[in-house]
Amino acid sequence: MILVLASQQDPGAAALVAGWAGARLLTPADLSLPGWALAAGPSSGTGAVAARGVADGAPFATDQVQLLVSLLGGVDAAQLGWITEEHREYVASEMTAFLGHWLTTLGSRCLVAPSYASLAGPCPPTATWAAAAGLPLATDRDVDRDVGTPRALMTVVADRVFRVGGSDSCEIDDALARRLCAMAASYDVPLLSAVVVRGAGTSLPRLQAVLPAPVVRTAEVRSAVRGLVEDVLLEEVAS
Amino acid sequence: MIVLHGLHSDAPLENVRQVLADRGVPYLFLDQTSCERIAVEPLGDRLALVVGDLEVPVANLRGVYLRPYDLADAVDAAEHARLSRLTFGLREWAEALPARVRVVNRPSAGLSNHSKPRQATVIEQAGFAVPEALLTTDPEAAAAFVAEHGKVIVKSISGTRSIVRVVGPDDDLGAVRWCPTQFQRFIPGVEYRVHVVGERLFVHRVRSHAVDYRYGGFTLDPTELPEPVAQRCRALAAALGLALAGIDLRFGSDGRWYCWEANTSPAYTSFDGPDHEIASALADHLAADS
Repeated sequence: MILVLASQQDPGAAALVAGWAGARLLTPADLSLPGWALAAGPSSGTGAVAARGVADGAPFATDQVQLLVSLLGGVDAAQLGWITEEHREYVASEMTAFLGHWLTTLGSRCLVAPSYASLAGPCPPTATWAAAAGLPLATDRDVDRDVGTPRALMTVVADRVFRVGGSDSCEIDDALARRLCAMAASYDVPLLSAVVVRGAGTSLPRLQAVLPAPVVRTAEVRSAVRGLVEDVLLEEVAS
Repeated sequence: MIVLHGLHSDAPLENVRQVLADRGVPYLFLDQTSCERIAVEPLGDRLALVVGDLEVPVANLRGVYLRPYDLADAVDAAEHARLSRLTFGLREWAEALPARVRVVNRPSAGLSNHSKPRQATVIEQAGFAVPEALLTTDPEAAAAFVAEHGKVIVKSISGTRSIVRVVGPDDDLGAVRWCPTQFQRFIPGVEYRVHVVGERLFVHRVRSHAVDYRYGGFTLDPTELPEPVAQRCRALAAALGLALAGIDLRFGSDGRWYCWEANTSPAYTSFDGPDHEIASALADHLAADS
């Protein structure tokens, strides 16, 4: 079974699992259903409790998970509409902390290992990403939306780069794509999304941000993600 | 040069500032209530801390101690947004500083106690005992865990402060279906709080009748740990990348040393003596050559 961890309000995630045999969507709503049980401490993995969870409303055993793709940096309190308002921040923190531990127990079965800062991968300073890409950082003027600086939201999938948002006037060339792939590879991350801007009079685009979780808004990028997952699973079978 | 960021009214930060001032050690206090001329700005592929029109040169930096607060209720929305951007910028700037600059604590390391069971795996690797625990949304599994262990505590999974409380077989556990909840076997024993500052330890035995001493009366007695346990504390702080840590230990009645968690931004002043030994050690650490 392939799990895609995402917000229930992420249409790209829903489209990713739609029609994908063996894939199920796991959202924070599933963490408000009885059925999760995970031992921790000295009994973890050896105690009476076998790790189990709920995805898309249905139970599963953790042993069934072949690979998990996280499109969720953390649980957003604002999206927990079924929890009373006064408890949403607390519940969101608890869900995020629980997922952070559970993903760690999955080990290499996470396509991208979680960090303490994100359930979807590493979160070094943007300056560190920029240095790895050989790109300058965006300035405050670049980031000011009123200025109308051309910007693009890009998703890196292995050695390919896809535009998933932003303005067409922000040109994406092969050189930029190579820099973004090198940036992702510097942290051994096969899937991430970044925002770049093209300031007036600059030859190189500037890096505004690497997002805490990847974005899969287009059919092309979703197809690439499915292909990446299938490649990873095939490599595991082969090894 | 030492950079301090936060509020003068925050005793852990202010006490370190006072020690530095008394010693004549150069420091820059970035006061959250008065930081209009402070910014973190991109310069090429790096960030620069700018005060007025001048960049704080990284070459002159020895240490950084960050203890900012969320001032949401104390300022208007625009000022809150500006302060949030500054705090985020300072975190990114500090995280990217070279290793020779002593940052208390690197922001990435400071996040480790945001998931207690995840941090517990590092605690166990450092040689401490950790209690059996269950994380669940299943009331039946929770009830079975309570029945198995008899006396069980429930506490937050995240770093959000919660009051630790005891649950037993007669408690209604139905609410766990809404949110993963952490249950731990109760460990009877003697409570200790250990503050690690670099290689130095400050140990207090905590005497309290409450399950969670922070919410009951308690008294503190300075004491020492057996050397192997002290070494485990240093090893744990190092494994978590923490120059300053507040470690909660219990010497169990079964003769084992248990560790609950390592607080990554401890408000240590309740444990500091009249001579401010912990604040002084922190000042020593920040000002030392790496």
